[in-house]
Amino acid sequence: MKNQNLFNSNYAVKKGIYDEYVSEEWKVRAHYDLLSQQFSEYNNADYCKFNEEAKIVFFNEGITFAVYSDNPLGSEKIFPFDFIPRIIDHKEWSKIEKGAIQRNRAINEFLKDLYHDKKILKDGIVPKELIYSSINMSPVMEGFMPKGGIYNHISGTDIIRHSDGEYYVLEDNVRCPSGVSYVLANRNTLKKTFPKLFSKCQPQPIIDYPEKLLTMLQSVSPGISAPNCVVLTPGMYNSAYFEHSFLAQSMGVELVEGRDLFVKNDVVYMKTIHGPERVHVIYRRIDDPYLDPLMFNPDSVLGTPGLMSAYLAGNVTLVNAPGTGVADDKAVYAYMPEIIKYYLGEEQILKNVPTYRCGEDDDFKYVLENIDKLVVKPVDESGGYGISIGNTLSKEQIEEVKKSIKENRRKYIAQPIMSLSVHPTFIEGEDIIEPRHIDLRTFCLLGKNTEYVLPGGLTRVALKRGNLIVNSSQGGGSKDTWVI
Amino acid sequence: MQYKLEYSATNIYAQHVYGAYMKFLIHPYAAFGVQASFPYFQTSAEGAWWISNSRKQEVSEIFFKTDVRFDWLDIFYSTDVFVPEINPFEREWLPVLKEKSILNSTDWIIDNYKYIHSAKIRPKTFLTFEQVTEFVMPNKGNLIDKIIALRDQVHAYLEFVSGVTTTQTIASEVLQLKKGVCQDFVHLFLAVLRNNGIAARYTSGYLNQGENIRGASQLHAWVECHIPNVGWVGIDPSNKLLVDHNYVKICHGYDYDDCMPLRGVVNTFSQDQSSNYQVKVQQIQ
Repeated sequence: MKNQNLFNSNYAVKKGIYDEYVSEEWKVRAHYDLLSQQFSEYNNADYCKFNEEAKIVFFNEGITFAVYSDNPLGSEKIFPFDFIPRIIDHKEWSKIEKGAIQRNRAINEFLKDLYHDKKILKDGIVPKELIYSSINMSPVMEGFMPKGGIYNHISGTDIIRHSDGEYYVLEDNVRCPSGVSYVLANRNTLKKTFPKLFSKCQPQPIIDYPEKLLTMLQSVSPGISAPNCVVLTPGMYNSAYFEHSFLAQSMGVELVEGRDLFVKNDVVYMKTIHGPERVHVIYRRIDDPYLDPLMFNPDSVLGTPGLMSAYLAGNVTLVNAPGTGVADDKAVYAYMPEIIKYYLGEEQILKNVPTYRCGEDDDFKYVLENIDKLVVKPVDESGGYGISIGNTLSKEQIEEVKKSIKENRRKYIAQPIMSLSVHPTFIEGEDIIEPRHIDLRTFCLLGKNTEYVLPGGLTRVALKRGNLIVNSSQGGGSKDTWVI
Repeated sequence: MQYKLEYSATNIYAQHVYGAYMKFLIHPYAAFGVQASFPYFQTSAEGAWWISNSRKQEVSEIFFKTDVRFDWLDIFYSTDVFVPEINPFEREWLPVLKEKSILNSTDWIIDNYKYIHSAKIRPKTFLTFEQVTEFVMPNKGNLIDKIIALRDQVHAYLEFVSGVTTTQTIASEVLQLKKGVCQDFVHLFLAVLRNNGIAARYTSGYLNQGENIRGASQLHAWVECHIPNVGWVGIDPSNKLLVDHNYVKICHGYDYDDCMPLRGVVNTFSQDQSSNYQVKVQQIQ
């Protein structure tokens, strides 16, 4: 279907895919009315101008990311940005917000339980094999309670809208998710590009995120009223270095590398020109294995020797806690509805992608009959191993998968292949506006008595036609996200 | 029993070292009446050292930090330790059926799963059930009898030879070599025990020297198995013994990696270094 009037271009939407901007009857959705009116005044030349302006802002402000595969020396690229904002209606947003908090509270309880009483395993809700096969289950965290009882201080929940118009959670990221600096940068850029539209729409503000982040970090400090917080980065060659420096700068705290810190008597100090300065809270953007060469990977030069001893002695707080990765595994994800119910006694607000458990007769039958439409995953293998995507398999491979399921039914689960909604996006080079697939990463902060979800979050867009992969490393870009 | 424990090490580096940060796991584990005096710790390079109990209250890790330049490092540690006398056979084993019902309970399995599960991600003690079929666990008797039977099979299977393995040798290599030192005995024994559903952990420590006792001038390793109503019981596969007051435990973990006596970071330009250490256990009373 095509409509000549939309964005003055040939805007076409495939049937069976949800378009965020227009309904199937080619009616602009109500919360996009103001944007639609404003855009009706523009033509293709204006779009090119907006695009150029946005790029210049990104370039001047150094909003970049690095792709390791492109260049091992870590050269940086401008983060691709699309100037057409994604708009979420505030009613829908309030559901997403509640859902994200609910999920992350449940994940926090889950982690607390896994590293202490293990009730959920004893009650048979989540299989123990799944947890103990995970490389992210950290034995050093066993029996240790982080300050304030918080493990996943910062979480990123990836959400998509399926063809049925419903939001589904695709995955949880509780190992220091990145991307929030682009949300703030996108907003800053778009404010300059569309000042009028911005004041008409009044999207919910996000400017206070660094302040909320700092408040959260301070809330989990080890018992000091004015704690010294730092951002720990692997260094300037890391793909998210821009974000690390941006967050440190906007919070007004020091950005440090592992070598800038040292540990003495289980206390962490920062080397400064005024002498050692004690550090209380570390927002670390270094993965668990690299944190402390004396505890984990002995070859790590990114971390600080002795850091984990200081942490376990309770003299410093690491954000997020080590060992959180066990909760954001793809196979654990399948159990999220049960995990939420088990700890909070609530039904999940945001839906999980439906999951078929081959151990149950009806599900088993359905999976065998519809295997080409499903993603089959083993429950006891973490890290994405052994996953088969039905529509990419040959006949022989399908038979093999069926055979393995029949041999050990309890070992497998299956989920439908989901489609992502589309959103009008400016295509550079062709200089037209076309629908492209998008997802949404929300950012949730959990502190001692504080809960916060950044209104909107990061909308990622797959810039290649038909592509479902929205990751920036795979040619994806981002959009500003407005909650109105 | 009262012992004087000594640990001395020399590390020689190929190029200058500009500062180092080290962690020693050599001080006795403080539990079950074992009492160690505050240690004497000295190094050839000037620096600061302290004791950390952050890993576990009972475990004392000695940290050493120096910022001076050196080419070699001598370390000397000593402590006096009291170990209460125990007879490892005098324990209250539960009746077989009661013991079995506890061992099969979900709570027991999950509480001990960390040490029952033979994890692929930890290859030092990973073997599949098919690889250990040679070691047969008897059907009858208490858990301790079964463990002793397996211990004797592992002891008979391996020959105690120094220098054929390193601290990086994994269980599947030990199985093929049929030779090794105490930690290889322990790694293979752990793999066998875990494949039979027995909770077992790696334990490092000192061993009071005696005649025909293996692993006395080095730090020793043995296994601890969790037995209902009794707790963790030490079993030494290299010497075919049950652990008594001649053994002074330092710490336990899943495998050798959790109990390495020395981990460190040195600032230098060459990876080449030679190091050797020795321990001395002297009985005072």
